[in-house]
Amino acid sequence: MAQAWDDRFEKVLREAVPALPADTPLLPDLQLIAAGLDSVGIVKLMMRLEQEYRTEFAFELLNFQIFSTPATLWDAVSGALARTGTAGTDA
Amino acid sequence: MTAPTADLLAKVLPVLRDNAAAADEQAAFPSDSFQALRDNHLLSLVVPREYGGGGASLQTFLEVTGELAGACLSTGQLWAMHGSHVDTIVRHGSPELRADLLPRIAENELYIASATSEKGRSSSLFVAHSPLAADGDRVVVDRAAPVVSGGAHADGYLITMRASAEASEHDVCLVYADRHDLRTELAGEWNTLGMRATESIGMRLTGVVPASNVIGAGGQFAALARESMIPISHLSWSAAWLGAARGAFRELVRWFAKSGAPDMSDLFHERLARVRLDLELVSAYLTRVREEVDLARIEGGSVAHSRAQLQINALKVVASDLSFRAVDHMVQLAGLRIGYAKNSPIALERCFRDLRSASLNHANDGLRVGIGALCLLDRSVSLI
Repeated sequence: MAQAWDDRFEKVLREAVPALPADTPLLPDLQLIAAGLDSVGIVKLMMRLEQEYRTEFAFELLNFQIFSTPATLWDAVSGALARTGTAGTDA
Repeated sequence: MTAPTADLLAKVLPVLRDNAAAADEQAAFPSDSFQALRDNHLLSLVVPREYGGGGASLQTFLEVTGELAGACLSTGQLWAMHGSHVDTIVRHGSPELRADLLPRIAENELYIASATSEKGRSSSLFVAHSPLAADGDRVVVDRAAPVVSGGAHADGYLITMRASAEASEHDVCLVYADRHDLRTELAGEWNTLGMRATESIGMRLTGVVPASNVIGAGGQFAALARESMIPISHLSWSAAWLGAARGAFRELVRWFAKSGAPDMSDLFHERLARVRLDLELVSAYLTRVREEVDLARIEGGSVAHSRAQLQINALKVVASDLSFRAVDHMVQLAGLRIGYAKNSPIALERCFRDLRSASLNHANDGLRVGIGALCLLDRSVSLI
């Protein structure tokens, strides 16, 4: 696993998996599909992350496998941010 | 298709044609047709040669599906689903399961059905309510499914289960069960407009099977479904629907050639063209999607990216819609006596009823929602 994610990532991810209780820790290896993230939810999550970090993910990243766990998704998000040089500052 | 496979088909297709009308009339599993498939080693066609099977390629699997469906769509679709299940076991089964089951399919021509439907909601492969329970090195299955195509006649079952009693309904895995390890109860009645010979009754399956029969545990099911089960099932269903419509059109144009067309007007030719164009479009799209899946398999690549998933789902929608439209136009062309009558020399009436189910089977409405969502991911709009 790469470095720990920031609060914005966790907030957006929890919104996408409402079945996950708020007091349950978001573990890096949580299986997101098994937790209730479906195909349409994945698309919404991706767009929400793009809005949050003010970036656009490269097409080749848009593989369902990156949505396997919080860790794989954060790897993809942080990798995209590093590549595009987007600071991801929020207003 | 290889010459030996074509020879096998030449033996079984007349049997399917001879039995299709009676199986449809009785809404009964096409037992004689399946016996012909068994006798000619077609139930083991996609089992790899190393396990004693025919080792057929994906292309051959789809071509055979189309030919069988052209003679009897119910039989063709049941066979295609069996082939998809075997493919899942070949690609994702544990070494123990593969070593135990695949040689038995090859030797005994076992028929594998599936129990993936759920009561009280539109069916989703990614949702299962009944939990799998561990019992040492075995697992306990107790699963009710409202629609199990050919289930009363299967030798084994691929069953979707909730991973455990503690798991969410989205945490799904597959388990294979031999019929002789299960208690099977039939429920309900299959009395439908079309696809009657699939005898898709409800079943309750209970029993205990080896833990090595579980496929896709640990959250891996969704990935294997996207990578393999869904692509192969959409490809083979589409091949079956196209095969049925093509078979009907083949009979129709031969009948026109033999008996003289009702008229040779521009309208007649225009309607013929519409049918042919629909068949050509489905065939082309089916071929391209199959090539993409083949390429990913050969190169060890993935079809789990958004463009491929969009196109795999698009294939199912397009094939189901256009195959039905084609047979609808054929009925219009052939008229009341040949197109609409049950006792016509051409089985257009049965084909029409059968293909009406194509858009309902894994419903197109839901697939279009998914395709629409995927459009927002594939922003380059990179078409196939």
